[in-house]
Amino acid sequence: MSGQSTPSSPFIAHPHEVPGDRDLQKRLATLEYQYSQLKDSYEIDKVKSQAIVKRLERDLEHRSREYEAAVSDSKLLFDENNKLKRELRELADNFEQTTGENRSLRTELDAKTCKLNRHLGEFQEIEKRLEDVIALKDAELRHKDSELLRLRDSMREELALKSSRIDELADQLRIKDSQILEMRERNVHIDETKARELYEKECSNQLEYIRELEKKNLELSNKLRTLQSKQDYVQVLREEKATLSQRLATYEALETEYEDLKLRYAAMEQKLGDWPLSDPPAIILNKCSVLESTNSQLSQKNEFLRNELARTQQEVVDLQSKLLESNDRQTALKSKLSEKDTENTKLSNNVKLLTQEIQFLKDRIDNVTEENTMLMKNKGVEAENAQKFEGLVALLESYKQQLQSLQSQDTGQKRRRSELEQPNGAAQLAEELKRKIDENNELVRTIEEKNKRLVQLEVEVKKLGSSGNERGVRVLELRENPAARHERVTRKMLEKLRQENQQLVDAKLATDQLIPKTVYERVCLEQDQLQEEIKSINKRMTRLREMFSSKVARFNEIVFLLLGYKIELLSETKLKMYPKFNRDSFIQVDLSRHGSKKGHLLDGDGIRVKLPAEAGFQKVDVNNLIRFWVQEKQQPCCFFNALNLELYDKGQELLPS
Amino acid sequence: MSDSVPTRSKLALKGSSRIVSDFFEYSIHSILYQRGIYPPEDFQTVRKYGLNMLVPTDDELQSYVKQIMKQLHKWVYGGSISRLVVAIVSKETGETVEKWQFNLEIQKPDTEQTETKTNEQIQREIQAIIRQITASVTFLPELEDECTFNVLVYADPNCRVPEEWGDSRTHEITGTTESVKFRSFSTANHRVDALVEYKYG
Repeated sequence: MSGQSTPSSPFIAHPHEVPGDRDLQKRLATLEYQYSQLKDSYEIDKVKSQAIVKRLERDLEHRSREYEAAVSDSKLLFDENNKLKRELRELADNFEQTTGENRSLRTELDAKTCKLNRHLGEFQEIEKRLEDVIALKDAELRHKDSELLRLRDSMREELALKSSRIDELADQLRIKDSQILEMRERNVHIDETKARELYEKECSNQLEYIRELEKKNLELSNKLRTLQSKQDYVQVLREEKATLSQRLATYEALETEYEDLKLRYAAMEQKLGDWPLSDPPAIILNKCSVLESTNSQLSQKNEFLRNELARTQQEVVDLQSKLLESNDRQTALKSKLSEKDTENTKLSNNVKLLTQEIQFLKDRIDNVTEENTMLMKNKGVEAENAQKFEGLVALLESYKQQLQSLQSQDTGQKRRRSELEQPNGAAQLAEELKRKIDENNELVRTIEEKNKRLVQLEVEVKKLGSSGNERGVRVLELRENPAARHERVTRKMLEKLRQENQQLVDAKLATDQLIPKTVYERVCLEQDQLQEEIKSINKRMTRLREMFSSKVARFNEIVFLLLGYKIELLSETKLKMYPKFNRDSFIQVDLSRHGSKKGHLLDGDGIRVKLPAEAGFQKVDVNNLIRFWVQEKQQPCCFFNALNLELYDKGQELLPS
Repeated sequence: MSDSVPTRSKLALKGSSRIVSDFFEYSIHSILYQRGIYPPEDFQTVRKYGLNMLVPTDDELQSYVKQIMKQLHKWVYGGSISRLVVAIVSKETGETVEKWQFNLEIQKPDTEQTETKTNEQIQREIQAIIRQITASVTFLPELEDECTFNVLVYADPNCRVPEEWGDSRTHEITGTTESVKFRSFSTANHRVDALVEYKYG
């Protein structure tokens, strides 16, 4: 119908059409309409069916997934079942094994107990025997000891008797001697020979008797020695007894352990008997494991919750402290803010005053210009006015600069207010700044003084230089001289300090926080100087050491020449001395060995002498000298002198006459 | 020819120059030791002029004095210097506190006095000066600040000056000064007068 032409009139729809065709066309139209309706319904049905198909497909997919999951679950269950069965079997095996082990342990323990019982019996027997032996030996020794004591007492008595007898005999001998003398004196004619014989016989008898007594005494002392050795044997036996008693104690400890083991075994058996017969041990073990796992889970959960609680508590505490801190900070900031506000108002008042002044000055300038115009004709005053005008303009400029600086300060203050969140840091910085300003002022003062001095010196130099030149002489110096070096370093330092000062002033105006580079440079220079100083001090130290060692060597040489001993210090208290007259020998003196008496420099052990008697050199009796000079007289110096003399004499003896 | 073949007078001049420059060297060492410019342990004793003289052991100082003496000998030989000054300068203030002057005069060898002087006599004269330098410590004021020193040479303006040397200020002592003249010594060609000037009050 789209190919139809448009009607020529709006009142006539189709002027050229035949009336019969109209029905057909209507029918066709209805049919076409029906067709389109059907087509549409078909399309709708198709869409619907497609949706259903899709849903069904989704369902199918879902079902298939569920099916697969179920299959996998069943597989898993099957596997788990198998695994559990295997575990059950293993547990049963284990149980059997443990029971077997228990049985074997029991038999083993029984065997051990039997053995231990046997050992115990043996030990008890040995102990008894040893105790008997010890008691016997003890009694015997005691008896012997008492006997020996008695014998010793008797011997002593006998000895005393004999000695008294010897004394008596000696007295008699003396008496006899005196008698003989008397007899001799009284009668010279008496047969002296007979008397002497008699006397000699008596003497020999007495001597024999004394010898016998001595022999007996010797025998007794030998006996005493043997008894003493026996006493040592008793001591050994006692020690053996002590070791045996120790062993007994260990045995008892073993026995108690065995008893404990027995008790434990009985308890285990009882436990085994207490198990219910309805439930096999595998089930009980399973239950137990399940309960253990749940217990562990619950304990883990409990632990986790506890940790959580602790953490939250900690957080609460932190938050509270933070809150307190922030409150403090807030109050501090508020106070600072109020201070700054007052400063600000002061500054703004200043600004106002200055603006008023500026206004006033502007007015004055206007007045002056007016006056100028009025007095233009008066040329003499013109220059003065111009000067005044210039001065006022300069004043105005200075006021403007001041105003600008105040404004900059104001802005600086505002900026710093924002930085005042850390009050401590700001206070520190302010303090540091103050200190630096003071330092700067001091440095400026010194620089000014130095400058003055420099000017004076320069004037002097000029004056003197001119006078020198006048004479026609040239004053020369080595460019690299100590004074110039020192001056150069000082100048450099001064320069650095000046720069530092300048930068510090700049930094103060700018931020108040940065440390200028020149400070670092100055510190570096100072460090260099200090290092130079250290170098020179080290040099000096080595020189002093060298000097010290040379002086010590010289001192030693002089001591050797004057006193005849070369001294070598071994430690603080020990020294070795080599005598001049026998180089192979030496004397070692330990000054820490000064004996117990006060004021004594040395005791006899403090001196050790090595004097080899080699090559014909006779040995000096050093011990005698030490005993006499050091121990008795307490004069070690005399000992050394005496030794020197002795050595000299011995040396002289060796020389060929 | 006159340059290559040494004449008797030339040899005498060389010897005299050597004596003078040696005297200067030992005088400088003595002053530095006596005035405590360097610590005593920086010196060691040597035998010279029949006396125990002190010479430095510090390498830096040794090389500095040696460098001076090397040039000084040439100038003395050339007759182009008139004075040697040892200026002692305060490290603290930079002021010159003491000046030791040695005036050098060139003598004509034809005078009678110089002809008769023997080496022993010269040594005796030098000994006397050195002893005076040593003894001067008793009257010279104590150096309170740490001090350093400089050696100045008053030379002829037309003399040849090596690069290491340069013009210097005269190191005059400011304020009231006092000066003490020492003995002098002379050789066939030279005469040396010694003097110490120091700040007084």
